[in-house]
Amino acid sequence: MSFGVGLNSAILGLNAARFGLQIAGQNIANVNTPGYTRQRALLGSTFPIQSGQGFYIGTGVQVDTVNRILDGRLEARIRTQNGLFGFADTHFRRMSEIEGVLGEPGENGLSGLMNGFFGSIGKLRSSAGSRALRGGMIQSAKTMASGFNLLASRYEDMRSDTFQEIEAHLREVNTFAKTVANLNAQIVTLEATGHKANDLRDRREIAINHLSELMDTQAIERDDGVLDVLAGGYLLVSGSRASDLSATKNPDGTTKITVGSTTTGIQISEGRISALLESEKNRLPGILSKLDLAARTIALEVNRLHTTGINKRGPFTSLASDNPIKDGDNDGKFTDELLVSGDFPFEITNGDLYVTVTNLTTKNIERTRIAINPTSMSLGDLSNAIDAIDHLNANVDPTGRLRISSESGFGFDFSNALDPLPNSSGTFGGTSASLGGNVSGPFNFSTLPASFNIAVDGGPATAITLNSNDFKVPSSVSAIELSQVLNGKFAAVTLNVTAHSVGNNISIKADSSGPSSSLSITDGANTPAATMGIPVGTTANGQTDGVSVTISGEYTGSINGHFRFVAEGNGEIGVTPGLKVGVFDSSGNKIASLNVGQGFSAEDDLLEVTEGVKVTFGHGTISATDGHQFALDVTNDSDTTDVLVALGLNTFFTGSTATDLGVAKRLVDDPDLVAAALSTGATGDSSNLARIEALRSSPFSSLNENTIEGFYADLASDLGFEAKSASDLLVSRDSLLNFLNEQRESISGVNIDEEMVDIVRFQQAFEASSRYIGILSQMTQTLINLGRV
Amino acid sequence: MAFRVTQTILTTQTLNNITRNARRLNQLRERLSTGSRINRPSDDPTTFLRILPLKNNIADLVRFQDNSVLASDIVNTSSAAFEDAVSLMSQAKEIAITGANGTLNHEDRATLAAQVDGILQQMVSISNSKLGDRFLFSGTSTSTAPFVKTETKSGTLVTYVGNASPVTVDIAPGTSAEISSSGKKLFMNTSRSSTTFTGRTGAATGSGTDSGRGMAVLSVEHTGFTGLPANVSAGSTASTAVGSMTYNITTPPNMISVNGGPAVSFDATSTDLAITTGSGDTVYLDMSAYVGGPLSGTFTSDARMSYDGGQTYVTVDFLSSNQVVKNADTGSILNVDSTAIVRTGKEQVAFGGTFDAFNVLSALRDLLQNDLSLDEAQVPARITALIGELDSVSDNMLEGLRVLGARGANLDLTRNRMSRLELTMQDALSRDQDIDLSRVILQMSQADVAYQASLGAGARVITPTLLNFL
Repeated sequence: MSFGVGLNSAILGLNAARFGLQIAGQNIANVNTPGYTRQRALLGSTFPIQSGQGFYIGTGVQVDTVNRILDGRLEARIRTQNGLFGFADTHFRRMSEIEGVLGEPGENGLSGLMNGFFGSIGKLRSSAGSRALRGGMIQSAKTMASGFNLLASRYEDMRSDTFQEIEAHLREVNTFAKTVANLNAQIVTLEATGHKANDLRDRREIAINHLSELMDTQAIERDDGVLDVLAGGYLLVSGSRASDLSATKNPDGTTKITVGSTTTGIQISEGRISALLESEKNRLPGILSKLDLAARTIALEVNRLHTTGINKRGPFTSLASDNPIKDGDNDGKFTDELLVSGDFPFEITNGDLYVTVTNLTTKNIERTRIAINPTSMSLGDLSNAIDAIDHLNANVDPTGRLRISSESGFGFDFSNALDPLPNSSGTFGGTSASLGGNVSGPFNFSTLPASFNIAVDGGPATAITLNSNDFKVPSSVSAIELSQVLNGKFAAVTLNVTAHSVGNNISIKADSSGPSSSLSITDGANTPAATMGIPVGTTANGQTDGVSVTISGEYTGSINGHFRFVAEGNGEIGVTPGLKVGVFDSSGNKIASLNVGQGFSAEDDLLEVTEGVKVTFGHGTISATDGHQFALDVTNDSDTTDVLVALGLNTFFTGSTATDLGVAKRLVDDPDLVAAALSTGATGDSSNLARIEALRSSPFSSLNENTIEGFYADLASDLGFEAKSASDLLVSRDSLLNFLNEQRESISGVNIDEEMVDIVRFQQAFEASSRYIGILSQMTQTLINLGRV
Repeated sequence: MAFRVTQTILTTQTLNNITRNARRLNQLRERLSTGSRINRPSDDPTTFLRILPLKNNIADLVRFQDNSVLASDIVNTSSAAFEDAVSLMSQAKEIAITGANGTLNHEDRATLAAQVDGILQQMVSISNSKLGDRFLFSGTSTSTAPFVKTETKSGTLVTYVGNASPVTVDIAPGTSAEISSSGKKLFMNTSRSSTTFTGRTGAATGSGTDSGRGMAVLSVEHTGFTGLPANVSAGSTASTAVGSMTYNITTPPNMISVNGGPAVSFDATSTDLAITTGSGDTVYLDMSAYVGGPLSGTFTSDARMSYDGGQTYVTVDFLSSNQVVKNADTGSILNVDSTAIVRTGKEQVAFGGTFDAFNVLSALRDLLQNDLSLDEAQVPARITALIGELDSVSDNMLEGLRVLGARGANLDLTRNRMSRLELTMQDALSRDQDIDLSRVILQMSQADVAYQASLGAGARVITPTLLNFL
């Protein structure tokens, strides 16, 4: 052994110890560095040389390499778990925020506000006239509406904020992707020298971990040390090249994530970004659509009842619709727009609208049916149909709104109130002579021309001839059409008689009155009088005082139609024994027979007809021979088309979504206009409020047979369940991530104790090597000294 | 537990534990400070779903109780007012009993009549009682005074202008109470029975059903003659005998007798000859121009009837057993059997069972004033007859009072039931929603101990490394 070799190996020992110390120092220094992987110096003895004796002995120590202590499979699992955790964490935050916005359970949550609204209706019902309670009801309706508005706008804000949040996250993704690409380049360069670029790899690991928390990320290491990153199934980092992700908005408001300059979106299934996308695409729109549905149902159902109610001031004298029609063909005209394409908040369906005109002095009402087919009826047609009603004027104003007004002394409404005086035309025991037909229309005048003769007040008989061109469809002539045709004929020959439609039947009445008024009809060619069922060959006479008929009560039946009251027998009301009045429904079925003969106290006794309708007859003579009859319109729903709701005529709520729900300004300005009643002139009548309040407990098919409040409670509780499961998910994913991180830490983390032991170890090795040098030096000295001797 | 434990593991784990304990402590603190176990739906979604309807139910119950308090106020006020009305009726009865005393003279009765008129005024005023701005007895027409008093030719008329639909409020689930009653039922409840005619005209009730109410006057007036012999005409004085009658004229001496009455002599000056008929009534004939010989035959003394103080007349058809006479003021009808009408005069008509709190008083007043100018001696008997009607009106009103009273009692009962129900529901809500205070405090102190322990453990575990010992 030569001293040279010995010294050399000692120096190598010193170096190795110093290097070991340095690594331990590095480890200790990075004890708290996130993502730092502890390093180990791997030492190996140097190549041996042959000694003089022929042995091979080592020449010292060398540092073979510096290893990072890590488990590659664990790293991959952590990366996956990062994505799962990132999703759960963001999802949980979102859900807590969504749930928090509801403010349930609490006074100011929507459930409390809805309860307040329905409660205020219940309160008002006890004192329907009270202005203070009316104001209170409007106030709580406004509060509920703004509760809906607030929720909707908060969720809408959250949805639109999502885009910004995603953009921010994408900027991070792009930064991390660039970092990985840069590090890839450096690592390849460095490791080409055969040494591991440990610290750079640590940094790359950190960047990828961050990336995996934001979106699902896969890393594939190539042999040359390059790490390719797949994100959302797309090669985000390839070697030293990184692609940019960017966000754009889809037409439906959702966010699309694209790579580089491509336009196709990529699917992101995990990570924070995916949680945001999910809440933007499904959760928030789901909640919003449910809120909208609840708001829409409230608005529609309350409005349906409100539009057909009567307010404290009685029938309207003028009213304008809230919702203008859309000028769909852009021709500057609104009248030609079909109702179906009017862009109204609610759909108009096929059906009937009943408009009631009240004579404000006599309280006499006239109800007119308007058949509405939204696919063929324009707003102008509707306006004309209303304008055609006696005492009403209607037009479409320049803003596309329907305006209705009544002549002075008259009012109008859309209620189901019964006509208190249904015999105003006097075809039932009236002062004028009248003959009523017992055949219900539509009438079939198959063989025309047909004629009959009519003699009035003892005058000569005049022939009236019906021709085929008089009718639209001669084989099916409605009572209303027939009465109009007949009146035209009578006027043409200046005959002082008038035809009236009584339900689906016809009555012909002389214009004269009193005992001298007389009327007789004989049939001519093709017997049209027989077709109408009008008694022929008899002479009807008038009387001094007509029979008064007064109706009271509220119709509780379910159909829209009429009751026809027919004299069954001739005689004086209250006097003639066994005198009866029969009542028939619109389909001709007899539904009641009322005893008005001896034992009936005229003007006094209230007779129950059926389904809540009550009638009182005054004194006078009625005649079955002359076919005395009158009709009472009964309507269960005076608007089966929702046209009033759609146009916003006398509605309670405006708007049709959670965002635009509000209370009609008319009512806010004047709470007396709340339609609490179903009858005119009864301040304390709250029967319409009772109908509105009953909505509270009715299930609606649009809400899956749930009540409005039940539907909302389900929504809130569903969110509760989701928030809870989001929180549970976060806890479990967090603890698994913690566990994995602990595993990693356990393998790759720095333990100071270990490092201290290493330091002591290397210190001792250093000291020993130094000592070896000292000994070699002494030995050399000894040899030198030998030479001096 | 990791096999190899590093300092970072220690600190991270300790920190995690501290955070977990702090979170638990925070949750308990929230529960304790709000007193509520469920502060957001996710705290317990199942229970939350139960809480919402429960809260609504409780709000309903509170409203039901509010409603029944309001209803009680109204019903009690109505009761008190109606009680006054009932006591007015007994005052009226006392006056009637006094008035039925035959020793009173016209002036005495007039004084009593003034008192009854005062009672009638009060009755009208009570029937229009208000609570706040709400009329109590007008059905749903709560802003309209329900009873209107008008003076007509046919007498004082009080009409009901309210409606028959009561205002109802919900006082329990599915149960509503009437609060504003229809005054017609309370003050005017009637059950029509037969109509009685009091008087001497011979008019009787016809076969038809009358619609008049209370008491009315049918007056029968002479209008003229038909079928008089030649040269005989009506005298200037209106006859009191009406109907078909026989006559017998003898000459000479010129004597005439009618309907079996005593023969009366006449001459050229007999322009207004009073002839007493067999029934004791008188016909007045102008016999001065009679020149014929003895003659006998029949003539008719015509008459007309009115039931509305002379506004409308119906000619008496002495052969009709049912003539309809109409009242222009009320539109009501009176059926008269005219076959036995023999003399003119005023017939007092009482529509049995139709007396109400108003018309019984006006009838009493009119009787006391003797508006019909009856023989003073007849008045007491008629008043006595009216006392019977007065009693039945009082009975009807007492029945109404009983109904109001029962309504009040029922309201109280229901309110108590609702308040008990509310307590039960509050209990249920509290069980679902509220914290068990002692338990949460206990849990909180446990959590606090755990938190502090984890802090302490953290402090101890983080410090030592081998470094400390080298």
